[in-house]
Amino acid sequence: MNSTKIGTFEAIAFIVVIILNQIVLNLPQNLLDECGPSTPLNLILVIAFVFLFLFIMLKLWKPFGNSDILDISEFLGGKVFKTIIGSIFIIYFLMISGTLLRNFTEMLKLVYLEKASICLIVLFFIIACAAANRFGFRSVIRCNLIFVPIVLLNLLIAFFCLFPRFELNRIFPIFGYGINQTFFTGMTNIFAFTGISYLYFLKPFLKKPESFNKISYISIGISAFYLFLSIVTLLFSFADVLTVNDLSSVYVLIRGTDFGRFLQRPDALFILGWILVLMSYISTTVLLVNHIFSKLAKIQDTKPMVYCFSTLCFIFALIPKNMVAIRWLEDTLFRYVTIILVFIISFCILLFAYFKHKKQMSYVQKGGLTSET
Amino acid sequence: MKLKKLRTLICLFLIITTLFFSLSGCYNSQNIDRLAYVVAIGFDVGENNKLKLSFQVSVPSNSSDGGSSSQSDSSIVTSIECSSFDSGVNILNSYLSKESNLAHCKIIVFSEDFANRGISETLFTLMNTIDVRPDCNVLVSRCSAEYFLNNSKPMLEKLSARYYEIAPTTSQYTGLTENVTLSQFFSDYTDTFRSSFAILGGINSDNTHSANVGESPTEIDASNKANETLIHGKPNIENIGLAVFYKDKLVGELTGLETICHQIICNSLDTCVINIPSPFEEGQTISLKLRLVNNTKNKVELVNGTPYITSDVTLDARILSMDENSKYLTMENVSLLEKSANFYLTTKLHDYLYKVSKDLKSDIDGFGKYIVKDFLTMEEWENFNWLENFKNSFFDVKVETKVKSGYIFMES
Repeated sequence: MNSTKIGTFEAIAFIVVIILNQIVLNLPQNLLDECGPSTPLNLILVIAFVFLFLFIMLKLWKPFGNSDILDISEFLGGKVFKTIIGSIFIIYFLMISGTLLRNFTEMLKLVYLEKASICLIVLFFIIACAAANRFGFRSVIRCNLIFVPIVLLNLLIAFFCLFPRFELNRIFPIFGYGINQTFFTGMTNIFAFTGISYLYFLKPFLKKPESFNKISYISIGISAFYLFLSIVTLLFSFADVLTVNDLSSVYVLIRGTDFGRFLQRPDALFILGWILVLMSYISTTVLLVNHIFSKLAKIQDTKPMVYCFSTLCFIFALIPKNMVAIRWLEDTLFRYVTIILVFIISFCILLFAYFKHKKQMSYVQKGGLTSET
Repeated sequence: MKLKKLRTLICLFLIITTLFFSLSGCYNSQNIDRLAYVVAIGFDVGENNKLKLSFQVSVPSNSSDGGSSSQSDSSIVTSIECSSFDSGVNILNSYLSKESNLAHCKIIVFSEDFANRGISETLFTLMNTIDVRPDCNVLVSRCSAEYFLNNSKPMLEKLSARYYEIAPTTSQYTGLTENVTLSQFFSDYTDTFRSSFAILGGINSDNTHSANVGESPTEIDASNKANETLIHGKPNIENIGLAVFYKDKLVGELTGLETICHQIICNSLDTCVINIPSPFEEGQTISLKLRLVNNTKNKVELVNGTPYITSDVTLDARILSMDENSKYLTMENVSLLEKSANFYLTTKLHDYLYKVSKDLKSDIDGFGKYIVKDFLTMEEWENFNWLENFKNSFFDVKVETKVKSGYIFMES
């Protein structure tokens, strides 16, 4: 049983790996496109909102003990409802990871592997993911625990090296593209915290379910810190970040960074770290999707399903025709799908389930009192 | 037992296969023999076509020379008339029968003529090229880019690439130019509160020496631009001054002394040597080594819609000049020296600021960043149009020079 249980650090890495991949690709640029110089201000508001959301979510979760969102859906709407929610999450996770994988491989192809077929590069990641999942739950989680701190450090060094180039006045005009964009339409930037969707399924995996709240706050806190740091670094270092949409802003940033005469072109080192963390992310997602499916279909031996979901991820990665389609999926479609699924539908499930539970409890208590009298 | 044998066989097969691939040559891959390393790219206006591209390509030395294969003893310059940068690279590949690699390009040279016509398209193309590194330098040449590359023969360095890498760093101890990289140039170009500038370079030869070397003795050394200084020797690269851009067009050039002023205002000055008029003897000069003590405090206010810019400069000075009867380091003489230095630098800074504001109309010092905080939204800021308004600015400069000491001799 313990082979499918994870500790606190492993759980934090499980959530943080998502934001790391998004930062490496174009998430900070997407946020900057929305609000311009006021993005740090907007992000502070978004982070405050996310923590408030998390606080309420964890409060609503309390009566359900060790359950995940699937169990809660079943409690609220029965097996059919559970199957619908589970299937939506499976498609959501596979689509997001597939598109992210395609985006990264497109970058890799342009930078290093111009002559290689995109299909082959994607396949390289998919084979690694299938192999890792085939080795089992622990190997995926442990690899993730190794790679995440490496990339956290790798990004921190990159941002720190750019510090001398900082022009703090680039935060002005303080309201950027307008008050409306900063405080209202810019709130759609909460889609950056996709990591919360993984939290909905994390609790049954934990060795110590009582530390779920701590894990949630720490992992979302680290994600918020890194997202804020990447936004601030991009905004303060170069003016062109507001006018040009790059392939990957963080990569462009690192290309322009000088690490002294002994380490002049370290971008390959950074990309190596990002490849490892992307493999880890894809493996983690396939692991989670496999878990959801096994729970829906009540399958005992889930290992053969790894190939099926890896293939699905591969197919999703090959669907977008070009970079325009990838950007549309990431900037527009996933932005609203994440908000609707993670922040509205899942929250409503928790809320209604909470009230249902409360009603049942009061009914039981009343019944208990009646029987006592 | 059988399983163990099978495992050993598989392991052996894997090892042999790995060795087989790793020890054999990779005939169809990109390798050093199939690449031509471009160390500098020049842009000129073509005679018949839109563009004349010049590439300085490193010639790899033979392995028998004892050097590493990535190093070269010499280079060749190839010029191509073409319609665009990418088609030029393509033609170069065909001409050299090798694939050109721009990843080692250290410098991008624009001729004055080319820069006058606007370099926006070229700039975006270069930034869009994965091979071209954002840390290569941007230089505007006072001669044609082709001539510049053809005559850039490093005297104290064997490798052209290394020479190009080291040359702009002289700004750290001379202050006569600034190290401008492609990413910095591009960032400034796209910025809303500053304009871009590039290194000003040229080929110094007897024919290019300035006829007007300055009227006063203080003007002789630093009032020149690239290729004007009175150096006698083989024609070679000289980087002095800055090329000033407004949007994507070259609008003017700064002398060495004006570049020092620019660095004082922007807080990018490391150390420099200037000559000030001697307060003790008419017609004589005293050399001072200057360093910024604190960052220059710039302030921008809008007075009746016109930018009013104040700059407080604090400098450390050490006396370099000495003669037989020098008694500079008395309280009275130090005060006199400081007054003379303050007056001289205030005048020069004023002249510089009015030149960039009124003549060149280009805010290369980034004064816009001090006023942008007064605007709430990008729309307001863009409507104000700082870069257009900068030409209306008026300035007030205060300089405080603190003479610290001489060097080995305190007095003589």
